[in-house]
Amino acid sequence: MSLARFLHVSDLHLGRPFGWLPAERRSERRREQLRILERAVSEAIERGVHAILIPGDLFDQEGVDAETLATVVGSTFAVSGCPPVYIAPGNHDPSSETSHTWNARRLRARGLAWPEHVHVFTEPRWTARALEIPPTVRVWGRCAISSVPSLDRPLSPSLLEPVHAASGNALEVAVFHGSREGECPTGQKVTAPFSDDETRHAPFAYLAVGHCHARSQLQASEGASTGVRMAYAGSAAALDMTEAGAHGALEVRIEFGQRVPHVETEFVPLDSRRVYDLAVDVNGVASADRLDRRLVKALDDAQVSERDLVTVRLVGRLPRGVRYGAPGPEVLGRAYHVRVDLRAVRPDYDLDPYRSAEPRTTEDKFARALLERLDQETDPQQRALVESALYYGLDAFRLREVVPAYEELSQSPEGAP
Amino acid sequence: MKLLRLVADGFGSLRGEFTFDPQRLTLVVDDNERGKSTLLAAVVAALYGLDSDRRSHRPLTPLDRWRPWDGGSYRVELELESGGERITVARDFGAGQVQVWDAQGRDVTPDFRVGKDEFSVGRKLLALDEEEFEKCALVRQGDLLEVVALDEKERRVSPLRARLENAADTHIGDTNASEALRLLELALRKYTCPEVESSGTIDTAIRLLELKRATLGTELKALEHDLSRISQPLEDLAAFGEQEAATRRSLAEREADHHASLSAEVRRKLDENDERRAEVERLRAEAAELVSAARLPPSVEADFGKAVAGYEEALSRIQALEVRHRDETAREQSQLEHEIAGLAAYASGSAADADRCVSLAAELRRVAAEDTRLRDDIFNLRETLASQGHEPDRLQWLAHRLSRLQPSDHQLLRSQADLALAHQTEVEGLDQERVLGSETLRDIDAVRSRRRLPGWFLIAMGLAGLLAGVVVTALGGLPSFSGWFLTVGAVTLAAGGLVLVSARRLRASERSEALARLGEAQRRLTDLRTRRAEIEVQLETLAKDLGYRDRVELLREWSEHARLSDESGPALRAQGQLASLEAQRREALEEAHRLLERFGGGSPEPANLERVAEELRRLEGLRQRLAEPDTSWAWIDEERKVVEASAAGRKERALRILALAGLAYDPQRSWPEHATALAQRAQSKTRYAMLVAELIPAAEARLLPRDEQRLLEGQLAMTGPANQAASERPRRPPLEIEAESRQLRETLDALQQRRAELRLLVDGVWRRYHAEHPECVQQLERIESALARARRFKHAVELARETIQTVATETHRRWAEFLNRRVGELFGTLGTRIELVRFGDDLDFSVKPVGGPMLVRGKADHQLSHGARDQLYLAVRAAISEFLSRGAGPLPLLLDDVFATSDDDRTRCGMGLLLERLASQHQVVLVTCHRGRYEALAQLDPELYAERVHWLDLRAAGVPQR
Repeated sequence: MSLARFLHVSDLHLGRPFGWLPAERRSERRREQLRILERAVSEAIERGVHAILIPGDLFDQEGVDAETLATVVGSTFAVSGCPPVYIAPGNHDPSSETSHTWNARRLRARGLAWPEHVHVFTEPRWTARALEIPPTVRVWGRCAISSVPSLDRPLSPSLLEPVHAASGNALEVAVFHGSREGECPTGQKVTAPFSDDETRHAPFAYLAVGHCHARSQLQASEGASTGVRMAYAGSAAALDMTEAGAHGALEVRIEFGQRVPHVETEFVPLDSRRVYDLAVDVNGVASADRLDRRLVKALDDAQVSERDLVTVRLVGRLPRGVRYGAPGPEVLGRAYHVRVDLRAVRPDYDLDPYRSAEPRTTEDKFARALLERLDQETDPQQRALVESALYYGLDAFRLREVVPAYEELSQSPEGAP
Repeated sequence: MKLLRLVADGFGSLRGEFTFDPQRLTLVVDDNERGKSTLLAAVVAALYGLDSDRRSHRPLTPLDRWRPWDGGSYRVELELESGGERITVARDFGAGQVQVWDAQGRDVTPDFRVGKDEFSVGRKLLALDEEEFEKCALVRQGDLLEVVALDEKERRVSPLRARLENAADTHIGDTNASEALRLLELALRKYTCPEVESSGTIDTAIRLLELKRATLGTELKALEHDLSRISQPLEDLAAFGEQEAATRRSLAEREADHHASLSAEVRRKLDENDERRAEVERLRAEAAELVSAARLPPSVEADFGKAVAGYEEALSRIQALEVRHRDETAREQSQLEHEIAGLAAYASGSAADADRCVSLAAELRRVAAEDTRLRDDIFNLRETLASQGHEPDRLQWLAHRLSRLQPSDHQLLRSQADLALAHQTEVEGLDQERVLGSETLRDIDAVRSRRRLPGWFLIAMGLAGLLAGVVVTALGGLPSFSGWFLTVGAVTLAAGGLVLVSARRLRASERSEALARLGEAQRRLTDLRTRRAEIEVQLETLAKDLGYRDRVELLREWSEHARLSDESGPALRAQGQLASLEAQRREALEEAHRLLERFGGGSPEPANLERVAEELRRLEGLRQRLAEPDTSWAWIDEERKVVEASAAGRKERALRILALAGLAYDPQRSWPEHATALAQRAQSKTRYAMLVAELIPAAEARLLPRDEQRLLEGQLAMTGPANQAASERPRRPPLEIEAESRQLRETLDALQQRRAELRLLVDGVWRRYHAEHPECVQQLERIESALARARRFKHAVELARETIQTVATETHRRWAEFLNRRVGELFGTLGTRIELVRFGDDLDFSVKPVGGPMLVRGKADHQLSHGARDQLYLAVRAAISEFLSRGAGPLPLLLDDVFATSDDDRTRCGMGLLLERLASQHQVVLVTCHRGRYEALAQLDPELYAERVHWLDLRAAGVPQR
């Protein structure tokens, strides 16, 4: 039996603007991305993997800044002992003749060149590159050629014909950027879609896929291999506050030779920052300070450190008169970045009497009218608008104060009236 | 709903049972601050309970507000009639319990559950929440003043209208629709938008945000356009790069051709240099071969000849010395053998014998000299003793007589004298010691005797006293007298005893010491005497044994013998020495005699002995010379060694000359042959000098300098790889190659300059794009987010405004219709001066006095008397109550001293409205502290009050004083 080992790193999105971070921390986070890639290379060297597989979105955009490009091309992969690197450009950094990143001629024009052991799949069809060690392993790859959604199915039989034709005794490994149907988050651009069934019938022992920023995998018990057939390594660095959990790469170990290849993966943490998603109940808080204290307690309970990124989702009804716009310094100081989601917070108005009792006053009738309109409305944005109007009107009647406070309302189940 | 009975078992200060008349106005009278208002609060609490939520009631919750101060029970019970049924509500606020019973005593509490654990009886019965009930049913002190404000400024805002609106628009009545609309409008007019630093209207903020968004969009497009425009420059840059590479290659070829022609010249020079270097090397090799000849000194041949001649002469001298040595040795040997034969008598002697002869001769001479000296000394000593009267016979006689004494006897005799001397000295000391001790004892005993005397006297006195006491007692005397005698006697006796004891102990240690000293002296004295006696016995025995008469005679003769022996001792010792010397002389003579007999005899005289010793030594010397024949001819050997060293030195020099000339000495060859070879070497020296001085420097001068050679070799090495390719191309003239190279360099410079410009352009655009684009995108996102928020806020507030306006218009219209009808009904029966009250859709009102014009809105306030205003308020208040509680039956009106600030006329008017109009439709409960005023009013209208007023005096009901 032979053993092939890979490090599967994806969706690093180098050069990300990180507009959601405070201005002074954006460039720091971009530098951290570069360090994460350097750590990936170090891990690859220490673990003695045979190749590094990067299935797309290494860069956040096609025209990444010159410093990042020069660092990655000129030094990150050029360290001594770095194993072969196979890059399949994704929809964020697609390959093209005019690409500043992948076109070797343009890179040369700017005085740059990828190292010899870095191979970039610059064609949208499947092409292969054999590994020198182990000699019977072939890495297949394809690239995205445009940033617009692509509906080409990379694992369809017609596109896989060259792979089938070339298949022999070699161990086939695929690297590409695509959307696993039914698994990628809603709202994400669909690019190079593929189904689980297509994956199971593909001639690859392992498919290193990028695009989905959450780690996931598909198991198989028959076909080209057993164990893990396909995996998303997830984004190697946390890119926004919705990407909860730890981030890193996958070490892929494939036993092959006498019998059907067997694939195992192991998570290799690379990003020292974790993303937390916490829910905090605001019911009954008497003031913004008290709410801050609840937030601090929630952070402590979740063992959030000063290096972490935290989204705090406030849920429940904020007592009338309590205004909460942003967390105080005590909360902000507990983590690297704290974002407070107020969309599910509602003012503490008891709306049931407006629905059930006969409206006698203008206030009753106003509330009843908007609640009826809310019930009839199906468009989430319009519902949010009507709900905001309802609360602004009640604020005027009850609090004698109208200040902007309900623009972030969403129609989440816990927040809907 | 009608209130029937209230039992307060601790509600604030209120305790007791209060009965309400459902058909008449219940007038609750009491002193001020005794709990009248609490009664109304207790009714509301019984119906709706008390809220304990601290978050919505600060700092005091209703539950805490009404908690009894005495800490006792905290409960109320209200009996009421609703819909023809009697219900009893009991609330224990202390225990948090509620119970509701119907007329049959059934527990119907669950029927009134609202929510999880709230039991709102009022809400179930009246369909009104607590706020609504209070708004409808409760009229508190001071409310009438707000009907038409006394203050002119406040009056202009038309409080009645405002209150009407409040009643119409909100449950709680804090804000009316107009105020709400104003607040919403204000929110739209003062919208703070930090993104564009605007705090103006929402429309302004939106416009500024849109403007900012458009600006940012333009900037973004410009950046992207710039970025897209560098595509062509990048292509050009790549193309120029390729052209530059091609030009560099052509230039490299030209340079290779140039280098090829240069390298041929260089190679030729290097080849010539190599040949010259070979010539130099050859000459140097020849010189190296002749270098040994170069070191030959100029007179080498002469030196060599001289050394060889000296060497051969030394060899002939050595041979002559060896011949002489052999001849002289043989002659000396024969002479020695002849002499030894002449000394044959001494052949058996040895050197030791000769030495012994010499020592015996010396011994004999020493003994003879010593004998002479001793004899002289003895003679002199004897002469001296004789002159002193010394008799040698007496000494011999004493020695003979005492010869039997043993050494121990001598010791005894010697010690007897010492003992006698010591005994005499010691006995004297001991006697003195004994005398001293005796005197000390006597002195102490004397002192003690003196001390004992008073003791004995006291004892006697004591015994006398005792005896006297006994006598007095026996004679039957006075007991006190006898007792005195006995006591004094006993005391005196005891004192006497003490004195005796103290005298006995006086100087006790000193006396013991004196006794010890006396005993010790006596013991030693006894020991000395005993020992002396023993010695005397032994001496007596010894004297008897030796035949003496007594020990004295023995001691005298022993002492005389000892003295004579001491005086003649030197003479006796000299005589002994003389005898010993004689023995030594005899032994020496006997040995000399024996020795001389071995060598022919003769007298043992010292001279004879010395002669024999000399002959023995001469024989020994001859034998040694014969045994070592070379000893005499050592000078010949020394001389031969000198000659041999000289020969070796000369040969060494000859060999060194040969080695200096580079020749090896061959023993097989003769010295002349070596001299011939040396002559040939001398000729080579001349050749070497010419090589070193002329030929080699001339050849080296023709070589290339080392730096120039290395430069040429370097040039050749550098052009080496190109030479291969260049050699394959046809040779061209160097000038042509140079011209082409110059042209290519100019082209390359132009390309590099163009590339630098393009790269600068591309890098500038690239840098600007990456510096500004993310910031622009983020700003755009922020602006769009702010714009969306502003728009949502605007739309939401506008929607709220539109909705409020729509429903408020409808509500106010319906309110106006009802108020016009109902207030008109109420006023129509009062006979006031107001003919008509009209409420508009905006709930503002106008009045028409009887016979007067219609007075619009605020002007009417000034036209109304105070009493009319109160009546108007009460009518409107009742109408509001009826409108809000429509469908729930007539509500009770709970009035808290509403006429407290009115004068008597206004109060009478108000009461008239209540009794004549409202009390017929509503149950009215009026609490007041103005007992006298209402009693006066009752006297003015005795029938009306008797028929329609139920007096409830709390003081009479036993409500405790606060």
